[in-house]
Amino acid sequence: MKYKIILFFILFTIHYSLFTNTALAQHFVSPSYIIDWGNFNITSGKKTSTSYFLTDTVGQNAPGQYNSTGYIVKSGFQYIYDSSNQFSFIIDDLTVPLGTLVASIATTATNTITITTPSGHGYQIFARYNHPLSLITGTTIPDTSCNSGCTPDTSGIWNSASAYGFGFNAIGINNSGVATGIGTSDYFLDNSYYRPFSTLGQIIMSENLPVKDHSAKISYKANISSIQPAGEYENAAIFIAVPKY
Amino acid sequence: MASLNLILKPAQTELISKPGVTITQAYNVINNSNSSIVLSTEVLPFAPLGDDGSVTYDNLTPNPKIQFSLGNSDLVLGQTFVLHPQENRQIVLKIKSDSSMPLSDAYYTFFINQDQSNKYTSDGSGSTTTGRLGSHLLLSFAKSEDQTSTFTINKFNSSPHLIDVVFPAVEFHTSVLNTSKYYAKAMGKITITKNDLILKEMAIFPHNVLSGNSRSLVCLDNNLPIPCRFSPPFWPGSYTATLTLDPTLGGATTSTTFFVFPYTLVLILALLSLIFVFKKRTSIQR
Repeated sequence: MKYKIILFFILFTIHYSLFTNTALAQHFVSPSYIIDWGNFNITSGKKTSTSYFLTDTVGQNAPGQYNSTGYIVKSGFQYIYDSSNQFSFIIDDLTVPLGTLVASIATTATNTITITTPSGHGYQIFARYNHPLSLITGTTIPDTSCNSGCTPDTSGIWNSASAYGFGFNAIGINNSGVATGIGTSDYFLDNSYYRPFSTLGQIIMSENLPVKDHSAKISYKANISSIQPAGEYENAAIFIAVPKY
Repeated sequence: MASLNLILKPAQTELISKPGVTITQAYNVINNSNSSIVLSTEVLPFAPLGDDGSVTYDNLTPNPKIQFSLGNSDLVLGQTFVLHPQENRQIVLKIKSDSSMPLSDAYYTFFINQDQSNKYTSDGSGSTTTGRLGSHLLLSFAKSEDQTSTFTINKFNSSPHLIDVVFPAVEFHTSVLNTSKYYAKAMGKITITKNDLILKEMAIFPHNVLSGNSRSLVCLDNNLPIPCRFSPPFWPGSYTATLTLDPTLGGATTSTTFFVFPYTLVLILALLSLIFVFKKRTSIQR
């Protein structure tokens, strides 16, 4: 029995030495370096046709999605194209010029914000400013109170030439730029409604379900009185986008 | 025309950690703008607002037992960095909790802030706009990864109350309360029966319900959240809708009934009968 075991190990060692190869997916040798790679992709990337969009990985060890209680492992380089968990925010123009302000004539300027949320999440967009529209001397244009009262939390109609101040509104628009109020109607009933900014963030747009490229037109409005000192008034408006948890 | 086009992923991270442990989370920030942008990072605590997954940052102080820093060798939290057009940068957030951290949840948002130091440069008056993008961090500090949570049902009803056979759909409104100290995902189903026959089952979308907070729920369809709706054909009679939460959440259950009646049909028949009677009377009088 003892000899049989020794003979088995001798034969096993001879077989292993002569007939098996080292399992390296890729082995690169140069005079200075040896690189062993765990796997070597044959092909991977994005393929498109008129009807299909395909991402693939060929050659990688064990690609695919593996699910277990509490874990999901997405193995394979094509998952870098997985956009279901990305959150994007666009402001189409970072400069909002109100130009030369004239007493009792309202001046408006607009830009557009666009949001895309990940699978399963809605979103909230907050707005705030760093300070009221101000001259370098510190003179400010007051925050609007609209025609008969509005606050950073509540909007109001603002179309009176004698209602002075600085404010804004946000109106949901579709891809063609037509007002729909989607995402914004809870905060601004229509484009005649405005509210002032504040230094604390106020929600100006939100939806509970996931969205792709939902936009809102932001209108900034200033209307000054005849006693407002002339000059170039400036400030910064900050838009903060977060997903719903 | 300068613009901002920023992508942040992941949009939310859910982590369970033992107190005293340092964990890391990598974020990818992509600048899809046509120009370079200056960015910085920030982490702020949030609290749930309402029952629809909204958050607020007002009057909240960070937990001193949780320290945030960046794992990037060339960057510290709050420091500005430049992201060139189409550049993708990985930011590694390190979360270090104190060993005396109470066993509970902590909710934070990791922000990518566009730098606000740029001044308005055009002629005349105007504003400079900047953007910030946040990714939520739901942190549970626990001794094991298997947390038990208990939900109670706050609300379960249907609308409209008077349902006609020709109505487009019956909608169910559901709200649950997480009475435990750890957030958990809502799991359960709505079953609609008539005469003890199951007509439809709808799975609840696994929204997170934070500790001590309520969340209104929606249904799950192809991995997407959709309103919980029961669509025609309706037959007249009494229907029962039962909301059953998953046994791991305590298994709470509640039912609501709604009655379908052919109101429109009855109204039309009544109207036709009246017209018939009226015509008959007028013909007799002649």
